[in-house]
Amino acid sequence: MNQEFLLSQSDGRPMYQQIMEQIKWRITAMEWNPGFRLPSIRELAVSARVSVITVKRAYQELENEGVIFTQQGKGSFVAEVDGLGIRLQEKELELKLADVLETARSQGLDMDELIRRLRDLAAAQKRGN
Amino acid sequence: MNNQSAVRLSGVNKNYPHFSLSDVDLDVARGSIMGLIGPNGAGKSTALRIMMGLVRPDSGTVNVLGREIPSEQVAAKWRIGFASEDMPLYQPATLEWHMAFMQGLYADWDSAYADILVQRFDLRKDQKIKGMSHGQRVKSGLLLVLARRPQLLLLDEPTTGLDPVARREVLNELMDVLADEDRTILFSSHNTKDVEQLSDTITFIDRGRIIASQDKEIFIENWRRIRFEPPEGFKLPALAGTTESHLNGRLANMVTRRFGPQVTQALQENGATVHAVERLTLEEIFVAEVMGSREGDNT
Amino acid sequence: MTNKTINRPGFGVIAWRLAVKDFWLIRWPLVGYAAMGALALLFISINHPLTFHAGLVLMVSALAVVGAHLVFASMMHERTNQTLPFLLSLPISYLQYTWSKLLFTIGTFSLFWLALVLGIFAVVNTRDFLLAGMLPYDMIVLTYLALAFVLTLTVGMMTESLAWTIVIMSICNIGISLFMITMTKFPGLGEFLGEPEAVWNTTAIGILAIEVILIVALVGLTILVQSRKTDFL
Repeated sequence: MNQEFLLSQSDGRPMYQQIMEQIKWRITAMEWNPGFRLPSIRELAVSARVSVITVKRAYQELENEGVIFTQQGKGSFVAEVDGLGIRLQEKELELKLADVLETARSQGLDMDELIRRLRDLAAAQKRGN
Repeated sequence: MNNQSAVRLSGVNKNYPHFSLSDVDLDVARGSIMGLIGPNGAGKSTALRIMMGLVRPDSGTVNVLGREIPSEQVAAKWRIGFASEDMPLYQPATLEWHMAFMQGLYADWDSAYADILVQRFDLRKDQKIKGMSHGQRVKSGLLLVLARRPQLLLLDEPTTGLDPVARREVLNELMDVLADEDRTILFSSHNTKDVEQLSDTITFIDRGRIIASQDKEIFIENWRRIRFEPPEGFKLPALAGTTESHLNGRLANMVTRRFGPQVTQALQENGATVHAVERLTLEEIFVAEVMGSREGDNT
Repeated sequence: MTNKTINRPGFGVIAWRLAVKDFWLIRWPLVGYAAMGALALLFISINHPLTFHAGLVLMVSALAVVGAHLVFASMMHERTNQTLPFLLSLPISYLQYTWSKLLFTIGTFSLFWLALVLGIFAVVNTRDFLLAGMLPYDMIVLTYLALAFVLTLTVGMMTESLAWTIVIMSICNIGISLFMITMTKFPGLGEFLGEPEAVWNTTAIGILAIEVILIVALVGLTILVQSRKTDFL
């Protein structure tokens, strides 16, 4: 495995989630394509410098999400789903949008207000560049 | 006999005038890394020494790599590497002398790897032990066990007192041990960050008792801090597993060791607005466990 | 890599290695004592009554000091340096440990003793002014020193008490001069000191025999007592 898995302990999220995220990136970036054989749990643990159980957790969660599948004795593989990378990207955006909606709702913003805010923010960022 | 255990303590007791190890049950699975966390004087060193046969327990059974300790301790020790900052080496001798001594004793001594470790740990072979700093002595002790590639590593505070660079080097070497699924590490520390990163299983010990011992991920998953905004006249619902709560007007939080959707639900049902659900660091969990246990002692 | 097929050094090899370790740790003092012994022999071989006596004193002192240092080293190496945990982390049994101590102390002392005995025989036989008549006496004194050493060692190993060891050692050391003087006047021994030929009569042989028997008995006793102890703790 020539790519490094870099995990941060000061990152607020648990390490297994960081691993999951980095695996998903590789899939989205088409470095790891459907059918690709993931490194063994132990290999990844050693290279990412985390405990085996953390990697195990990451793999399990990824399997629950349908991103990878495991064959007993053979290892874990990227799910054979067409356009998995794109699907993951969409999922990621969806989650973030749901978060925004939730925050907006708890602050009492209606949909129009929210859209206006988004436009303002985009314009401000463009000016900043 | 369960041969999946690298180390197994059952009902171990050891009484000293001012301290007792009580009713210790410990099980370290083969191929795993266990971190033993506890405050100073909690009994970490004593537990490790009992495993090595350096201390005789008053009662209980000790089984290491399938061998009964202390009756079969010599056989067991061929495959165990024990290092402790409390275990001085021969002061007038050099590191090289110790390495040669080990090489003469252990057939599995890997001198090429040992030389690599000398480099990595930034040590000098010709330096006498008595001229070494604390950190260098700790690293020397670790080198002498690591180069044997033993099946079981029992390490008493392997990173304590080391500078960040040295710590990183040591942790790197310990991670490499991991690559062999037949090898096991049990290390004690009060640096929760090291333990959190490396360990598969975590055991908390305080005042001679094992407070908790579980897979790290289970700890991380079960403990949460919930920040919420309570309404007027809010009463915290009685929930099993709540370890602390702070109700300061609009900013309230509570910590639970048994998190689940029912917790946030119960809060919301009582009118509170949940702002955030956060995981705790291992350090926070440890402190909470110890405090909880000590409170239990005092009631 | 399977575990059972690794070659493990045998009992003796480990005991030997541990003994060598102890030897190596006091190598410089030992060199010093060897120099003392060599100097003693040199003095004895010079034709002058003063140097002769100085040589004898030096020889006796050298052997006494070697003995003392060995006893203390064997007891103290692990105690003062607190290296006992280190040793205990190694796969060595208490028996191997004990045997290594015996090998170290008795072995090293024997080397010195033998060197001095051979040295004194060589010097006496090659120097005309030295009378061979003193050889039985010398042997008896040297063997007394061996006996004193073994006695101190036995007490040290069995009691593991520094205090008792020092007491015994002091008694033996004080006894040296007394013993030597007594032997020069001992009937059947003293009168042959000035003879050109060594007189190995029953008195001389008898005293030697008693010393040797005591030595063997003490060593045997130590081995017996030490083998009974089952572990370090």
